[in-house]
Amino acid sequence: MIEIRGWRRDNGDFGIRNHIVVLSSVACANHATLEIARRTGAIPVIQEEGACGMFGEDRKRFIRCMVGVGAHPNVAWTLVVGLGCEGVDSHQLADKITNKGREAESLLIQEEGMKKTIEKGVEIINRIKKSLKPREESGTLEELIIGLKCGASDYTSGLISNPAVGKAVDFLIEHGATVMFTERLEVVGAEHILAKRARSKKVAEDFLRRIKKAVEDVNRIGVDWIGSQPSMGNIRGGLTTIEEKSLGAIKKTGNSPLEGCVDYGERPKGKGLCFMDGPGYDVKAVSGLMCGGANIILFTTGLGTYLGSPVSPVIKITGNPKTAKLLADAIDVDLSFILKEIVSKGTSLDELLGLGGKRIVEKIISVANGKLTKAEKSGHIEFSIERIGITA
Amino acid sequence: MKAVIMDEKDSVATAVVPIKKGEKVRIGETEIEILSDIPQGHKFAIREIKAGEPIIKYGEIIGIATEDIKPGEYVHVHNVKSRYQRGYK
Repeated sequence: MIEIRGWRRDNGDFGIRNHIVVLSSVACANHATLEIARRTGAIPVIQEEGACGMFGEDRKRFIRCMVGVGAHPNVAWTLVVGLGCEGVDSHQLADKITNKGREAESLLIQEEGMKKTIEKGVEIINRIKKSLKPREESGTLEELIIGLKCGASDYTSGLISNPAVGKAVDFLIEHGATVMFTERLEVVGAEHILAKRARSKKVAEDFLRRIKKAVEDVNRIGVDWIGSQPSMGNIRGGLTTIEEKSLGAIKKTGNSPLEGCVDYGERPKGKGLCFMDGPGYDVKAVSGLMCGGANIILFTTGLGTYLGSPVSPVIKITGNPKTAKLLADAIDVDLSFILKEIVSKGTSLDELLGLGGKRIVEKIISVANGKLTKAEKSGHIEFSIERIGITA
Repeated sequence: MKAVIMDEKDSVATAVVPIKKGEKVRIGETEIEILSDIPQGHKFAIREIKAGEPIIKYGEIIGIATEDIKPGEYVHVHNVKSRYQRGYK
């Protein structure tokens, strides 16, 4: 059995990091949040928009995502910082996090003033820091939630990195892990394959309904897909249509059955493969997976990206030799040997992908046990919640 | 190897190195003469595809040919349309 050392939370969740998070609930509180984080070394989660100007489903989704951050398995403790007049109350957000059996406190700038908010925040976090426990509890792969994402895709994504991740995912799911993939528009043209793999008719219908809605949403605004899906970068990289991109993208999911679907930022309801109904845009997709509790996110890339996440370590994987070399300070798993061996020796692709999958699993285990990813080392904390409606 | 296919049903192959016009590339048992330069990672037809016929990669439909495509011909956005692209019926 593969053992992982981490932190067992009071609600039973298993974390592989023990972050103290300063969570801004609205962009108006970003300054205080960043300042508290700068003075304490806590991880800031800042908002592009946040708790203000939202209606209906957006508001529900925002609350779910914020609770997802505070109650994330990799988070030890959360300080929610708000301005005060915004649509979602920060004190209530902290309560919702503690109701999940996790720890949180809150500060409002309009109740304290800026200077005192920052000073109080620093004081609280310095106190919490002293109470943190070391990495000592043991867990297994069964307890991990792994998120999947691909970005800046090119021909190597569908040929090498995505199918290699698929091999790793088959191994993880055999060992009882939970795996989430997302990117609703990057399933278009390949949805029939996943629907066939659905655990039940109900799951298949739910999945197909979500993808159909995504297509209708794009067509309703009367735009041409080309240039967006696939993007101009994808086209330069050799991808011709959304179908080609999707068929390559879903290789990440391996061959396991599709167990269910969840909404954006929602925690999977059981083990095995789960679809999160989220966008393809890297920052919003990774943020959704993070809010859904992903302990680790596997990110395959063709042309390369430096993207990270505040609390879910992002493991970047490429099969593109140029990217592996040029963006070596971003790439955690370099699979460019696969392309080189195909060209020089004509080795079977499947055999090489098996090797690639093994390397990915090894990296997951070492990152789960504390080894920092390149994005963690360089302090990447990109975060943005997908909004669906109008802003008030 | 200069090019790979993802599934035996495929009608296109992916160049894993840049391929020049006039080069001959072996795909399984057959040898195909390349009709125009193919950038690395881009695709060429490995059999004749008529306008309106599906383009097959991964053993699945990745789009529809908008013109007749000969074996060895470059296959990309200039001669393929997504089934989801506006105006496609």
